[in-house]
Amino acid sequence: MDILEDEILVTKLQLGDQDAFDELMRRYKHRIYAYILRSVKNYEDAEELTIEVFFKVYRALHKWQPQAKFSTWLYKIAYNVSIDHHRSKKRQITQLLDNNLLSDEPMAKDLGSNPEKLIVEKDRHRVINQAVDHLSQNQKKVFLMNRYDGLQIKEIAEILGIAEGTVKIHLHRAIKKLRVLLQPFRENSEI
Amino acid sequence: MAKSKYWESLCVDYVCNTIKDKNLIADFETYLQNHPDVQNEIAALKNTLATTDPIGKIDLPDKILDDLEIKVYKRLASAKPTEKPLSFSHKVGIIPTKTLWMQGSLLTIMLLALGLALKPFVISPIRSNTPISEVETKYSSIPLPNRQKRMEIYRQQEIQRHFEEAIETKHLRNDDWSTTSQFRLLRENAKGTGWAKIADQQIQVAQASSSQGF
Repeated sequence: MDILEDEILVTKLQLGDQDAFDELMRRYKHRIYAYILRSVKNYEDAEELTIEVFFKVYRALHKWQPQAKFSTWLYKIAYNVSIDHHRSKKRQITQLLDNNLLSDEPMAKDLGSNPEKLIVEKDRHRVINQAVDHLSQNQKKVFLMNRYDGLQIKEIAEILGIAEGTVKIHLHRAIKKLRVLLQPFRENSEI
Repeated sequence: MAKSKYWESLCVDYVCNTIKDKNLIADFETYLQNHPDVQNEIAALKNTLATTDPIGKIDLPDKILDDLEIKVYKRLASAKPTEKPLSFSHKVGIIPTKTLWMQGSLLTIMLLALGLALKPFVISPIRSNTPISEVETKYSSIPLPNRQKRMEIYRQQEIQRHFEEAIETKHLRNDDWSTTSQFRLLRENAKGTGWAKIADQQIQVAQASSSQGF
């Protein structure tokens, strides 16, 4: 149903209905922001890039063809914007922020409730994030898109411009590698 | 051995729900019943995903996301002239309907007033020797450009109505044949405008969908 509605909204926008663009932004801003935040690991940059994504979407919507799923096209733009950002920024900046940023935020909110439990949880997140960071770039991209953004194999293939079979291989290897990497922590009941 | 490797290669697909063939899923589950080692592998993979999935949840800052639409519009407004946002209404050849309605209404009122003022001099057979048919032709020829605009408005409205009906057929009735037929009608009515191009695209989509169905 969502697919059809997206298509109608885009057509309406192509015909000059601005409300349709508002609806598309409302529908996708959380997902796109979260996707970019995972990629750039910085709230301000993620906000700026999300705005850039919708700016590009608005300006390119006349090129959108009903044959392509709107959400896939949107993610592809977000993916390209993130890639451009990484290219333009020095690598060390993103490494400085590292993994803690994303896991710290929910922790800080509940810190007063049960500090011990939260510290354990924070360690758990750190371990898992480190394991995810040990994946190859492609494995990580595919794993994050599939598990956290809920994208299907076909959609990931379209976004990354690779074959579906290749996406599957990356996903397989990512999960198997994570299993091996996390095994010692699981045996020690650390996660 | 080769067959066993094949089944084992499906473990990740099975865990990630990427197997679409229901028969294959059933066969795989039958295979699992007799292979506890593969069952353990599946359990381990599920466990891995169950462990890693929660860290994907991010608390998003509401303030940033609440203001996002405004910021996007500000970005669009501040775009350089070369980056000027596309005017879709221009692209599809629509005249801004609201403005035209107002202009049209004003013109109609003015014409009515003019018509009433001129009526005693022009139309009355007593005061004029010109035959009525000729008078009517002359009268109707005065506001021709405005009439054309008005006609264009009606034409646009009709095209829009056709478009809405066609979209309704497409999405509510899911009938490719009727959809194609309605978009063809729209294309005919909208010749020379951006709507015709849109109708053409929609026909292609409906036809592709129809051929896939067969």
